[in-house]
Amino acid sequence: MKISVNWLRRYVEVDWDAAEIARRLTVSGLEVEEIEARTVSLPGVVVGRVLEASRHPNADKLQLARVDTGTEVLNIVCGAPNCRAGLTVALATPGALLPGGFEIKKAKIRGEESFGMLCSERELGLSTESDGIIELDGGLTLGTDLARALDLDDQVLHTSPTANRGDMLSHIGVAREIAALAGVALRLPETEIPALDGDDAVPVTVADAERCARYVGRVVRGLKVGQSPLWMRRLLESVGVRAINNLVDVTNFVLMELGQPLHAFDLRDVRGPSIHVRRAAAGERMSTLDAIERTFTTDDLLICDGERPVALAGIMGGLDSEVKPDTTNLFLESAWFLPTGVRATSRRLGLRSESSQRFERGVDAQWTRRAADRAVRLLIELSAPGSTPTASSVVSDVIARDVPRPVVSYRPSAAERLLGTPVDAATQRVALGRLGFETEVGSAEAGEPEWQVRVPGWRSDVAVAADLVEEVVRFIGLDAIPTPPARLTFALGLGLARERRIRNVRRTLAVRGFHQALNYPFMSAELLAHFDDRAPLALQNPLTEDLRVMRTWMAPRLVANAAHNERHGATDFAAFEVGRVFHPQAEGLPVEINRLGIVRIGQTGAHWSGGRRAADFFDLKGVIETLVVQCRPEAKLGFAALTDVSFLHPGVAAEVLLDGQRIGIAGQLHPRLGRTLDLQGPLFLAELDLDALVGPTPVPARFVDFTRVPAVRRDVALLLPKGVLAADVLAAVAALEVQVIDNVEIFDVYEGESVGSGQFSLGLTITYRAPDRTLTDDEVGAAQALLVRHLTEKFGGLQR
Amino acid sequence: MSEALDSLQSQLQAQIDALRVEAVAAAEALERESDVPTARARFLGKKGAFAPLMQSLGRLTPAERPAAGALINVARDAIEAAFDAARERLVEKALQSALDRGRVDVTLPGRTVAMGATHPVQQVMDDLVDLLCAFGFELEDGPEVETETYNFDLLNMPASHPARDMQDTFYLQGGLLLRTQTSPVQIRTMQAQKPPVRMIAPGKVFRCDADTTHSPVFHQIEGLWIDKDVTMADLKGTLTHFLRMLYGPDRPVRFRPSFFPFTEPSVELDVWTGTRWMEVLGAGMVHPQVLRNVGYDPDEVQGFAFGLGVDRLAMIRYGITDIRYLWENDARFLRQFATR
Repeated sequence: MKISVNWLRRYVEVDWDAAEIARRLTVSGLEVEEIEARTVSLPGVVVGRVLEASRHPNADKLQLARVDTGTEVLNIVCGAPNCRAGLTVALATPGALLPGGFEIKKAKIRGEESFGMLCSERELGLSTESDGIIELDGGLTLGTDLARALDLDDQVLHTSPTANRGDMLSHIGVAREIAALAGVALRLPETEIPALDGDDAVPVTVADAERCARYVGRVVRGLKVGQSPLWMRRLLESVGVRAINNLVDVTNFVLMELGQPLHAFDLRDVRGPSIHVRRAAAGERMSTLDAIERTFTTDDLLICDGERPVALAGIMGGLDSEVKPDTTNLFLESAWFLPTGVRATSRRLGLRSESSQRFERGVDAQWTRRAADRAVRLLIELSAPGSTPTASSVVSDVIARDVPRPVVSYRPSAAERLLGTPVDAATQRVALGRLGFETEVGSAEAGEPEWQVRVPGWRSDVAVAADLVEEVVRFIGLDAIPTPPARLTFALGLGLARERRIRNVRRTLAVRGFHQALNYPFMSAELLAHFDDRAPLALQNPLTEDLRVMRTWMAPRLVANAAHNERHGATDFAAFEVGRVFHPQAEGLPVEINRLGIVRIGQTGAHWSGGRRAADFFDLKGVIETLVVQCRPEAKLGFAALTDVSFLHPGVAAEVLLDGQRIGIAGQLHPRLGRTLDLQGPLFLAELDLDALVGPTPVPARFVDFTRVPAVRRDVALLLPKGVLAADVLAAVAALEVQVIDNVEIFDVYEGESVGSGQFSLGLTITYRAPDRTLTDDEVGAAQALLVRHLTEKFGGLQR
Repeated sequence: MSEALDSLQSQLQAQIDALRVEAVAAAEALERESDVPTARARFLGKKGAFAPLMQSLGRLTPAERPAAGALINVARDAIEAAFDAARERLVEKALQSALDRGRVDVTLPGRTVAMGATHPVQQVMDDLVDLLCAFGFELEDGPEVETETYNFDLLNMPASHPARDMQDTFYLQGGLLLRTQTSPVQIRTMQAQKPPVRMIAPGKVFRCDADTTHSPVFHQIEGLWIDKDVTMADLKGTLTHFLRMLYGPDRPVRFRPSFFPFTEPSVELDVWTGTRWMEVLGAGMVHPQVLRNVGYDPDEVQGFAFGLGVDRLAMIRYGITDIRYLWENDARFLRQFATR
């Protein structure tokens, strides 16, 4: 919200400059984000008065004026028709610089000397159009610099009021806060109505007292639409409100001044004439001021005349009852609407206004009537020349119910308990008093007296003792609370222990060349459908259709990341992401699973010495093996061919097993899907259940004593039929349970012409070792022969 | 001594000298260490040039033999030494030539795997979590999909509360939503534990707005400390200390009253950037209604909660100019953080 410092000074007198006001407000709870200087530079333009004006001897449309500057009388040639004796004017003296760099010089106009220029608002840059020269208030001191005389220089505070402080959405509210902080008086605006006449009134009925606690309607007749005076236009513009005409400007001015939304109806359009405040019928329609036809529900509150709705209560007026250029008679509404009601309708219709924002936060019910009077007073004062408006002396003021001002029971010791530092009762009482709270101190018989604190009408947010403590804190300042050294306690650190294991996974992947990606967990339904045909959890109000459904796999986004990088030249991209996937349940919360997703594309091993090759499944598998060794050294990792994941290459797809349980999948993205997703080359991906990977608690390694007896290594190459799995061969060796076989490793896999089609060569290195002695050649030879015989018989192969 | 013996001796002497000269020359002419044994054997081997001389000793009288033998031995030792020297020279030469051949350009790149990087937001998150855990906060976790009850109602934000407008919410089917704050974890933790509670909850949160400074997904860390006697002074002490650890002891910190529905009084903390105050976290004393909502008695226990946004801290720490970089996963961005 923009708050004009000039405007504030109408109600509170402090010797703080704008920066100090901003600082004080900020440290007491109204954050000022920026101070905008609105300065007008009009050097050499002063207040003058026309002493006499006569026709220019040589020009019909020009006048010769003698203008008093307070120190001298100057001859000025003026072309404005409103130049006349007695008028107080803005005089640009020779040397004055007007907006646009126009410099005033002494000149001879049609033979008559002119020592300056009488200016219009447009020439001074104060408005975009003007009719004749500016007509100033006769009370201004002659010779004064115009900018100073008219308070044209202003500072505008850009505030960021918190959601609870509806009162900070008005100048009087901010001024009240400043007055409380500075300990000075608040000067309330004049609400007395100067011209009362007649007794006509529009009858008002309120059918919903809950939603409309009070409705004040006043009739003003004989108005004339025109331009508002410069001071009002300047103030409105400084807070970002466009000046329109004197009638509309007054309602906006009172809104910004008092925070009370008003609505002005052209009296001609109030049929009946009568006003009824009631709930809408289902399906009832009206076009609002923004020219959109709205359809209402029975939850919406309408202001209706004798025939139809004319306004959506507290939010926006109807299109066909607004003020028009020829409006002369007004029906002015000032009301108190229930915050939750306005909020519900505003939310449902997606229609927010200056008015609805204030009603939602709660306006001061004490000011409903006075705000109407304030506006009527200004309407009459500012009506265009040639009119003599009057207000009807009869006011339609329906008090449907009281808006309660809560009374909070409070013990001053609550402050110390919450704040951790004593604040004496007297200080608290002063603080609350200055902020508008009325305190009644109870009897001290039973120990500490309880206070009954009545909350001011503008603070509907205050309801409990803690709120009052906050008021006290705001007043004494947060600096008054000590900042003791932080108190330490000790945590078991279970959560952190798990977090550290996950962190190790991330670091290991980073060291292995994978970048950690970060993706939104939602994506387009179309993208996810390539990976999962189950119905996902979907957002009802996504930002775009591309951000509609919640992921059930990490893969789709990671694949998209790879495609993005491939397009941008990073063809060897490797990435991982840690995050959640979501599986909807029949009812209640979805199942959320912590996942690790890994992708890689392109090549690996690049070096000037050679070694560059396409990354493949085994690069990915190696990473998984590393992670498992790191996280779960005690667990047995296995891979098994997989067929039930349709987005993977059918021949390069595995389930990842830990102690026999599936913890994830790994494989190559199905080439068809790769093409669909604009990938040029093969992509390898894995998804692992992160919690299963890192395990519940780490099992410490168990030391096993090792033998110092030397081992014997023997290699053997077997020709085996294609389709025999390496894992089965190794399992068969293990099943033999030959004691002296210490370890078996695969050192080579070869397919090619030399071994014939339908077969492949599998090279094994077998390590033989006995714990207690050096093996003899015969022992090793016998074991090796047994092993080879067993494997060739079992799998139908030969020794090469 | 007879004439004949003298003549025989001098004859022998001459032969030995000639052999010695020949052998030393041969040793010095050798170019490969592997040739040394053959060359040596040519003079000193069983069938070498000295063998006949040794045999000729037999023709001498016993009285003559010692002197002649000595002559031969001196020569053999000299030749032996010449071949040893040759071997040493050639071993050294071979080593030198191996060293020359083994010379590399040490400025060529090493053989490595290009480092990846954890995400900058993750790095900052990890640091913050470490700092807070050092204070004795327990790390907690909660669902990202929440109910209105946990995300709003139990946090003292009923449906009619204007504060709900502060947080534009993504809604899912069945009354579910994406949590707009990590605060529901407070509620779940308090429901599951008796006081005292001292916890932090880092995680993703979701709001439906997006522009150059807002992402619909971002990261928060929530903190909560409830006990019999936790006061606003503790809030100030703890969070001031935290910010000093984060930004250094000399950085001015400002507390400013603010508003959150679930805390009362509420504050925001700003740190001085050198040119302006920058908001880094929100905090406050937990609202008595929130305590009641989880079955705690606000007359018995009290405490503070705080929340901070991680993404903005990461952007500031690393000088990242546009929030969208954080989510684009472009290698040109990600690889810049390959330090940890």
